[in-house]
Amino acid sequence: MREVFRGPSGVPERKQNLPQLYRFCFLMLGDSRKAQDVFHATLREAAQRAARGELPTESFWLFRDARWRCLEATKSDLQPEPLEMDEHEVAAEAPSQIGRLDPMHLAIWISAAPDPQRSALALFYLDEFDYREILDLAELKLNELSRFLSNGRRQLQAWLDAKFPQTADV
Amino acid sequence: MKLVSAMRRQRSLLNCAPISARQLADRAMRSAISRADDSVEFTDQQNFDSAVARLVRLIPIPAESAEWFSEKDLVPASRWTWKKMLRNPAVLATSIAVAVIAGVFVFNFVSHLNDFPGSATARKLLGIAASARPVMLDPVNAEAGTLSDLFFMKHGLEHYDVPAQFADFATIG
Repeated sequence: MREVFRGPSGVPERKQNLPQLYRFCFLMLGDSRKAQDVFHATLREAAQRAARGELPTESFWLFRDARWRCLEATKSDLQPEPLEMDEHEVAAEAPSQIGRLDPMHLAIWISAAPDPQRSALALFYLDEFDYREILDLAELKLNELSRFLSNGRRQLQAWLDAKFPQTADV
Repeated sequence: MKLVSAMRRQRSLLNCAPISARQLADRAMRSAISRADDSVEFTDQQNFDSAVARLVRLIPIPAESAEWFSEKDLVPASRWTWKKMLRNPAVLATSIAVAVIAGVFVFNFVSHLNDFPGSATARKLLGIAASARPVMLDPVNAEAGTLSDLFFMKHGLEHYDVPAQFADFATIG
């Protein structure tokens, strides 16, 4: 994986992983075109700042910047209504159900979640950060992140059950 | 109350348990996972998360975006300059240390420039004399001519002589 954008010390910053940055934008927006727009805008701005020698010193600033751009990009979109979503316990057969999903479907599902749950799910399933880094990036407390992830799993399971109903054994 | 809070925190940690072991840097998290490792619920959660993460890794990167992942860094490494190097804390600290060591050497060299044979003994004697206190001295009330016997008997000091013309002088303490 390429890790570019050097920190002030000239050392490439850890985890400023560009393919994962694109995937993050995609999960946040659920739309390839919008994700590319945000991804390119983030990198263009970063390159300009780098040329001026104004790269931020904080860690994961590319992801932080991209997150705010994603939130900004969806500000004018229709927001999901705060309704009670179905929740099912995570099932043992969930991996096979997920295996039948298209990445696009997952991105659409995650991008439809209200923020900060959307950010929490996108950052967590990138499998790029540990939980403390996610807390920092999404500006959450541990119990909030825990609740968002736990609810997210159960809601995704309910959605999977609705999309791929299990045939009852006779 | 503390137990409930600890259990709640452990539950929260388990909900945020990392998908891959490389994110397992936290001691509290390791401990929470080791306690829950055998539970079916936690195993299902881990399998669920791994499956979602696998799906995320399948998200294709469009060609236009992949152009950004070229081999050369987007930001060229900053140019090396003397000014920048001097501002580096490591270089600064090393320079100060070298300057101090050099200073000590110069000081030692200069202070030994005026040395002569026997200067070490002279320095020692002066040191002893400077550190002597009046209480360490015994007052002597005798004639000067008797001092050679006194010093010989008391301190083994030979060859202490007082000229004959001063032998009758009284000591002053």
